[in-house]
Amino acid sequence: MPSSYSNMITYQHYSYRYPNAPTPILDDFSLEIPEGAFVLVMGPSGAGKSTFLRTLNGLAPHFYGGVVGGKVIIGGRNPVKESPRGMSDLVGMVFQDPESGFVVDVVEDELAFAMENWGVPQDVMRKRVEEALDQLQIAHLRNRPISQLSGGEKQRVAIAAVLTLHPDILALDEPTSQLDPQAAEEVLLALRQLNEDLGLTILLSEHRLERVVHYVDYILYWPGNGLAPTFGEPADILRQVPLTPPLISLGKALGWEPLPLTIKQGRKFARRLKDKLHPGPLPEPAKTNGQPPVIAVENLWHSYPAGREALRGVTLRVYPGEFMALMGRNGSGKTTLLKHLVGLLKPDRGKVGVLGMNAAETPTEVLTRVIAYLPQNPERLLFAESVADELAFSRRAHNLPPDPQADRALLARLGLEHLMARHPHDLSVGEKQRLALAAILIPNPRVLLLDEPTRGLDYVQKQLLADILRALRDEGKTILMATHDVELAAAATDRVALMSQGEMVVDGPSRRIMSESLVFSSQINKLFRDPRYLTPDDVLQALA
Amino acid sequence: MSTRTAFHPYAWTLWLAAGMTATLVTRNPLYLLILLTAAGFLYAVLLRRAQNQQEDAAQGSPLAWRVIVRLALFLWAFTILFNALTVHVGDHLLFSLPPSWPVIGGPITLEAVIYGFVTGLNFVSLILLFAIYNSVLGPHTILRMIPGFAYQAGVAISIAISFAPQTVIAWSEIREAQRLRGHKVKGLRDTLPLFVSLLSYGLDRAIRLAESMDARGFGGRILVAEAREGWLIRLSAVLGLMLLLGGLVAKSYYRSLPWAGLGLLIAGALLLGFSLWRGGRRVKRSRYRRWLWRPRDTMLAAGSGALLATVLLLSWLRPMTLFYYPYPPYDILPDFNILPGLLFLLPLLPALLLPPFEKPTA
Repeated sequence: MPSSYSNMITYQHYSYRYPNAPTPILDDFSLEIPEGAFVLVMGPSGAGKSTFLRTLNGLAPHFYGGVVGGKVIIGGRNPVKESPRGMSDLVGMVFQDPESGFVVDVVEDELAFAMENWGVPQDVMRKRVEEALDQLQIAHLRNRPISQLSGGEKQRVAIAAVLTLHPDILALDEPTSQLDPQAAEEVLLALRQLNEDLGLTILLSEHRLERVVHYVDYILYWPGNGLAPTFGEPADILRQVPLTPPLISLGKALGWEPLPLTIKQGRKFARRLKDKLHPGPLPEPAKTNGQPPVIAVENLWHSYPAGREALRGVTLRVYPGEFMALMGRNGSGKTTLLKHLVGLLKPDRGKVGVLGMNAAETPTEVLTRVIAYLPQNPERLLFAESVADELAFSRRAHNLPPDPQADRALLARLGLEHLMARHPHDLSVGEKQRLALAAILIPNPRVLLLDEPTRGLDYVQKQLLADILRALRDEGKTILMATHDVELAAAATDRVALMSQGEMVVDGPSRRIMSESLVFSSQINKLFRDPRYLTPDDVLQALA
Repeated sequence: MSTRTAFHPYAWTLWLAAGMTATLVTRNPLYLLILLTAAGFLYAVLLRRAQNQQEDAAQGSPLAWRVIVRLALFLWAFTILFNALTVHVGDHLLFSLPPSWPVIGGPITLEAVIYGFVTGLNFVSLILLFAIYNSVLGPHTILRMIPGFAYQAGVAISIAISFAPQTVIAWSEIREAQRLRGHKVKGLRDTLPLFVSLLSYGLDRAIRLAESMDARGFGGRILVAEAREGWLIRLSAVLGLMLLLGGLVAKSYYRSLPWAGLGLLIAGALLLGFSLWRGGRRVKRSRYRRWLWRPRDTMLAAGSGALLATVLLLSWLRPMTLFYYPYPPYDILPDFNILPGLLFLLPLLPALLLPPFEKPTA
């Protein structure tokens, strides 16, 4: 059949069920993906995106076990028969956390690892390593130890490491979810280049659609619950799915046709719309009413043992009831600053005051009763046997009497009530995170610190988190959140501070800061370049 | 060029072998001091280069070894003190402690101080040589010198090496997390949840790594024709191990037949070697690293070879040259000859041969 030759990937009535699972996660679907396509794989958490990508090279079922039904042909070969090892020269697989997939210590050797396994002759290896280094623009890193690279560099090394076997297909499972926006852009540009120059077929799963949607040719949407996926052009698919990036949400709400995928495409609609908008006056920044700040950091300096200066004279005041975002590149000192506020790090110089206490002299265990901190890997906070036990553990730790009633109410508020008896390890990323949040909220702290809370969350989970945080703020809690998520900051916060290289660069009302910055402005703001419009809601209200 | 690629690993290995042999066969403190000074100077040179290259995070970096070298120096001081306070023998009295004090009471002699000094000198030299060797090559390069048949074991060790520091990081993250939950770790019981977390972290990571390795073809391609050989290889491995065991038993219990035990041991080793070699060949695999042998490697190898040969010959033919014992009836002053003295400067050679330092292109 000649027509099947132009298709790189063919699934026919394929299904896959994990061992011990009651129902198949991928259920009787058929799909054809043409050669050279750049495909975005999207859908809610747990819908089977990762599993689907792992069927491309046979990791499912070979690595995980389970039951396969139907037929799959990848590049003329059958991954179920050939096993991942045999498919490794056809499908290059890149995972979410590159760090845990590295085998050796130096960049060049990591690139050679797969070829050594295949017994590629030495001179061919040298040539291919050079090619891969150039394709990913990492030639300057060749002799560097991998542990010293930045997140974006690591991920590009991981991609180069599978490219050396000259695969026809590249499958990437959320490759940018751990990266800051700039590093993510580096990786995505590199992928676009590989797709255009080498004609690689690329399948990429990603939650932050606004980062990728303008790069891809097709979208494969997994709705979840074992439903069959939809495959098609980006605009067609995005019209059908419920939660989309702000630009597309606005376009759908206002019936823009053709649906704009990029800011550039959106601008011409925005220009036409401008005359119809009747905005109110620019909302006044909240007054502090002369109350003393809850967080008062004065001229804070901190160096790590290796000698790197992480904080250089940072001054910051946060007032009661504020919801503030701390933004800036990876390594700009955001986490270091937050850790000082709960006493996990001690200042070299300067003062850290929290609710009138000196954070440097108060034990963390005491501080966390009034100022709770949700670190970057919330799953590290969880160690109990069940969701309910986690909260009971927190109460014991803070010498509070057991109170299952209140625990249940808190879990209900965070949308976790139905999971009370589950083991925390079996929860989804978003659920784990909300459970960790519940665990630190037990002593009813006045201030909440969050470090990258939206990492790895899909739109539904992100919306849920934003609603919870806003509700907490309305109750009078003060929130300080380090984040790369421009859209969340635009939608939820009152104030934004930008950090760079350990210094505080700008600090002011969200609307002003985000409309003045190019990197840290939201999609809608890029469209209108006006501090009154940061979110689709701002625009829709001005229309009404 | 980084220090890592400045010399061929085999040249470095010969350097280490020569330096360690010289240290082990020599008790003469003057020669040992020369060797230690040479190695110390080389270490300082490497340390400066590493600082310029900011390689501090690398496991194979002189900076990473700084703590161990400091510890060795501390142990040296301790050895001197311990020997001086506990061995009360010798003609050269320094001072006396009241004899009523247990163990340390009695005359404190120069001989005892010197003996402690020489023992410590041996120890510190060995540590320093080893630190230099490890910091220059790094654990992963050293592993790559393992012959082909042990490739899989090599990869396993290589992973374990990078696993350790990441586990330490995870451990501190988990401890931080406990404190954030308001939990104070007091007794052993309180650390239990820490271990549970660490274990689940380690398991998750192992699974991800295994996936990544599987997807990149780890395990190699076994050729079909040679796959049939599998049983032969397994059989010879089992037989070899049995012969080795039998040889050990024969050697220890049947002393009257020394040759039988030895014969069994040799036969077993040969058979085991054969099976490992065939097993390694069966899997088609190649190596990426081509280590360059440059003129300076020849010079380093020649210098190290000369040192190795000379100290071995001296300790065999003229053992008194390298011998030293401070206690009576021997002379407290060590002998010194200029030629062996110069010889012990040879471990400095890499510092002289190193190519000029280039600023790394960032």
